[in-house]
Amino acid sequence: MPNGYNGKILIVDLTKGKWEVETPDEKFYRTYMGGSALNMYYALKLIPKGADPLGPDNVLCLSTSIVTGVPVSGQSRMTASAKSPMSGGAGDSQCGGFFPAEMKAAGYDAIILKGKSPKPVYLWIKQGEVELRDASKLWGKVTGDVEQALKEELGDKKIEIAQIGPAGEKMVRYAAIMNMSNRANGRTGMGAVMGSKNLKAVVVRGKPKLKPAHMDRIRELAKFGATNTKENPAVWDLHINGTCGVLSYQQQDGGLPTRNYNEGQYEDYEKISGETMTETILKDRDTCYACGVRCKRVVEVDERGYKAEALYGGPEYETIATHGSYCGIKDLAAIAEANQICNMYGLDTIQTGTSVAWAMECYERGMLSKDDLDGIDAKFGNAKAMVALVNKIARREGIGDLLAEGSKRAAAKVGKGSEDLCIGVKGQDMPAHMPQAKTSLALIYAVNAFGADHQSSEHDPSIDPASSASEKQKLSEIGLTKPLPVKDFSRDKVHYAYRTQSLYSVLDSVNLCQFVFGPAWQLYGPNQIVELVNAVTGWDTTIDELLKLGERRIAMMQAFNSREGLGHQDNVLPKKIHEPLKGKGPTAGSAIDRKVFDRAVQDYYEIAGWDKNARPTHSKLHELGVGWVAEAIGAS
Amino acid sequence: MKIKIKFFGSFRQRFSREPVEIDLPEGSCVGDVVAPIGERFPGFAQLGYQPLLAVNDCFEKPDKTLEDGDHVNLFPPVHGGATDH
Repeated sequence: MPNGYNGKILIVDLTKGKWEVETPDEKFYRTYMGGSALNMYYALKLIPKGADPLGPDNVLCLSTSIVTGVPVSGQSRMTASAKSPMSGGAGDSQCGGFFPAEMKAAGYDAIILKGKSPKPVYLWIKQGEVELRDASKLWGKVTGDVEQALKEELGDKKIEIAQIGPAGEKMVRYAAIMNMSNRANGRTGMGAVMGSKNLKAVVVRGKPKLKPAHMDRIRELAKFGATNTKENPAVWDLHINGTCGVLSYQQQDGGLPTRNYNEGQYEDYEKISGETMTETILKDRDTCYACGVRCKRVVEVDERGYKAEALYGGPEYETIATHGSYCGIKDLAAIAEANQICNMYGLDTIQTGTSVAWAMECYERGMLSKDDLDGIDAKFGNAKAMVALVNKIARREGIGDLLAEGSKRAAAKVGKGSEDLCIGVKGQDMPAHMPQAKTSLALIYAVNAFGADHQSSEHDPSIDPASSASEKQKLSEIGLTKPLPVKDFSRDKVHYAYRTQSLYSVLDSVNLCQFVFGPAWQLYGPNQIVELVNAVTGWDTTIDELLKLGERRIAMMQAFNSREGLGHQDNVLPKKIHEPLKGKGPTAGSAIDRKVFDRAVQDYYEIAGWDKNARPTHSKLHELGVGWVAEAIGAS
Repeated sequence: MKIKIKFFGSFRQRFSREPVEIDLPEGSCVGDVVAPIGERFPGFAQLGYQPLLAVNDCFEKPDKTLEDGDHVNLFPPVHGGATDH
């Protein structure tokens, strides 16, 4: 048996109710390694050109990786990919929790889901044995109830479940796949794809049997992590305050999106900050399999009519910002309840909050009336209105049915200039890190294959001349040695963005948590990623080989987009980003200059090996060892 | 002049949940708050990195001149951009 992977990929045809097992060779695993790159291999091979993202021809790919399940922090990740119902291009999203490690222990490195079941089912995998079981009684139930029902039905409290909630069943375009009722493959609508297949859940139970090639070296890495978690201020802050610890930082940076991205500072930020959450509603800190960082939050709320229970975890930074400052809302209890609704019904919290914020701005500007909004007085700052709208989206009820399409599609129906209030790229709204404060994000938000994403490259402060010696050291491991100011947007900055995007692309393929592994401030740096891969597999990989993997995954995703008709015209930013930011603070009045941005995009295409229409070139795809993709898309 | 200091991130639990006030001579810069805070909270002087400094909710370089009544927020490097000693 190989080290690090099962060598088995489960292909399930939900239409026929049958499955088969593929057993790729070592070369396949070394080429794709897992996660997003492996998923894109199957997406490009199995999804026909022009497939309806919510039709039976779409293929949902769930992958672990060669390192999933080893006892080191930050490795229990699963990537879900398919054609996205948000963008019509590549869809991609990662989750943590215990499901990924358990899925690998159940005997399969990846699960590929084709077709559409004639009735609701769930997939049950126990130590390699596969069964499709009736899920009619689970259909319509929220995630926490399904967790309990499945544990009772299967008589095993230790099963792990990746499931959709009612939002996925109703194909809210940005529905999530949930595990533990509080971890999500949130972005790009992978839960909607799962719902379109009548697949309620994937349930796994296994017994770890894979042995790393060099357990002594794994122990050394684990020891390093245990020793340095508290010593690394950025990582320790994730433990103390969770991801929401960054909210106060964003405020001082002028990068806290406020009132639908019209401002970069929120006057009431301290009421919704990570520090405040820690001091008020936080009940516990949770973690993923074998991770010592413990960045997950558990909150409890029962006040003023708002409720949130521990089962549904607690809000991340992105959730607090999108339901808080984006909507001008300072009520942490209301935000905690909105987070719970998203986790119960299975929604991407980012897109849910941004859709509400867009509706609120439409209401304030008279583009949507109170009648349009089912009588809801959706002014910025109205917490009860925000929660009511989240509830309606989760159920596709009334105005929620329109907002469940995402702001881009909703604006196309509403018209009246509401299109200019959208803050999306390729239909996916921008997360809570503002390009006006961190310049390279303007580029990455635009060119990223699956839309605006803050976890696809390293942000600008890490390459700033004032960054720490440890950050400089880690960045030098991927060849980045020239400091660049945060606001710099030269070709050098484009190179930085692409290089770190390639490293993040490695993380999404080797399936490593980006708060634990990364190119700069994280606990483990690039050379330690190489060490981890080699210690697990016994290979002799290098950082250059891994960065090629990262580039390969980026090119494959972009090739998928090209095949589906997405190109340069889609690599643009929303109008707002090019107009002076309102409000106060260091970013007030700032905008991303169109000419500078356009030049950066062209620089990016050259560096990435894309042609003028953002199509990866024939030679680039061959250089990356995926010439078959060039043939499949007819690359120039 | 009176300067109000507030701790953010893990600093809040480690040093003080409540804001503290310090006296600084006229013309002092925001970087000048580090020494008196280090005297009051010895652990602060032993950090292995420079804290991030913000004045009235805006990050500033250490040579930013302070005015009486300014609010200074102190952060650990929560998301990159730390400076080592």
